[in-house]
Amino acid sequence: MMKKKLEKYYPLGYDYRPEIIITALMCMLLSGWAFLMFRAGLNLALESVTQEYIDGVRIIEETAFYKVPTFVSLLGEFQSFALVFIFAVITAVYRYFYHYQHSKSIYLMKRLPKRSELYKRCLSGSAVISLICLAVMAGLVAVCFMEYISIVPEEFVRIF
Amino acid sequence: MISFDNFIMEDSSPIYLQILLHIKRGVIAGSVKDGDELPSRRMLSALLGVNPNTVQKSYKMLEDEGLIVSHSGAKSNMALTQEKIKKIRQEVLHADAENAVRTLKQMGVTKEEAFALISEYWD
Amino acid sequence: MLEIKNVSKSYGSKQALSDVSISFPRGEIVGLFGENGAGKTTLLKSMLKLIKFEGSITLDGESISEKNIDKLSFATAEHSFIPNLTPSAHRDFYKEHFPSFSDKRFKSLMEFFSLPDKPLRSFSLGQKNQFEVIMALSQGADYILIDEAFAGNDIFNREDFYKVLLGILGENETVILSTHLIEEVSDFIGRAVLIRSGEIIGDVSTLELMEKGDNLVSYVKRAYNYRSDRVSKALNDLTDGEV
Repeated sequence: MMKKKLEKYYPLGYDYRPEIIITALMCMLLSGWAFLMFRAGLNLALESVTQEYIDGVRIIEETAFYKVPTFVSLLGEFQSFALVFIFAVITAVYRYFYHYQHSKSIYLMKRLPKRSELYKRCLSGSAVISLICLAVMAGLVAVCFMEYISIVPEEFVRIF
Repeated sequence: MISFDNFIMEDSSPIYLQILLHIKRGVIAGSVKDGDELPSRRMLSALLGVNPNTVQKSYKMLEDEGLIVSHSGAKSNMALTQEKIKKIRQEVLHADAENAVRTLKQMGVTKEEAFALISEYWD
Repeated sequence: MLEIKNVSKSYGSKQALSDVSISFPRGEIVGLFGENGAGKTTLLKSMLKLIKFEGSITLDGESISEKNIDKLSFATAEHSFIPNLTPSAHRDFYKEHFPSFSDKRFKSLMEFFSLPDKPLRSFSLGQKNQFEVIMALSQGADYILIDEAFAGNDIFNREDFYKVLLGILGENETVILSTHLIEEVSDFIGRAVLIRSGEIIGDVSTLELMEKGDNLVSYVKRAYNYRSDRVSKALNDLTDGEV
């Protein structure tokens, strides 16, 4: 039933599963990568301002406030999610040319009284991919933020 | 309903004339009688695989000759009288016979040869 | 009335249509003839607004738009159906998008050709052609444009089809059939339009030809020869008889 509703937003007879799966895989890999880089960046920065460890507790130089990286500055590798948005654009082009494969169903789509139908079916999938990516990114930001405030002492927390 | 089962289209003459002739021959043979219903224009056109305009033309010609009457809807019926039938016989039968004789004469066939030929093929 | 006025279309240096003007009232069965590349497909695609062109094409005085595009349907040898879908899935889609779609006609034509309800990609070429034309006929259009869509079907198939068409077409439906098979369709069509090199070189009613004791094939030959004569005469004039 959900499948029927979803089908309306993709080209007729189009299998949307591969692109969703690829998006999921890309998001997973990029999340892992971005998180790793976030943690590495955080650790590296904190090490540079650590004075010493007393019983496993990190002691940071008092004057190090501005040397503790801001939360946002550690999110640099999130840029790589741009790949998913590029993928979204590529799929839009692919969905359009799907109408030229094996037959010219493009002739049918271009003759419809509802002109928006072709665009709806070519572009919605890309919107879905983008939304999935944004949702993953948002979730990841939340996770990273939790990490940040749990690791960085309260006095040194800087968001921006 | 007047039958077109044994109607064979030829290239020799316009189809609308062939349709006309088919009906007239049926009249002479007695298989087409007064009051008999003709297939509708669309039905005949689909049956023979010819454009409706062609069928329309034949029916119009039949109407002009007073041989059919068209009612509301798609129905047309034969309107024959003894006199009309006689006239058709005269026209078609004699025209066919005349043609046959002319053709045979053209080939130099004698009257006796012609009779013999006809007898041979009659049975 | 479908009116085509001063329509031209060029693809780069090639002039596919040159200032073509012609009208198609409703209720005709028109044969569109011409050699490959003559402009038949370009003309049909222009009517359907599938390609851009110069000039105007109107249906009952209005230009072709979302409001009246459903009055034109299309069947092409390239096939415009979706291979992964079944016939019934197509019917559902057409029903949703074309307000005048005829379920009744769809059903009886599917039965007549005994087409199964399986994905179109599993159909033979002949069956694909049949389905393509079925959709064009069931859409509920007033103008049914068929572009060589019988290519893969044997002659018995085609002749059956012409007869079915003659039986089901309404008075206000027009079929414009682009084909190579001039002789075969000469009884079936009511009007013949000839295109050559992007121009209309002939337009005649078949009944008129019959009344004059003429036939379509001769008419077409004459129209083509006439044009060749013009060309050689022009060449002659231009080169002072040297060619």
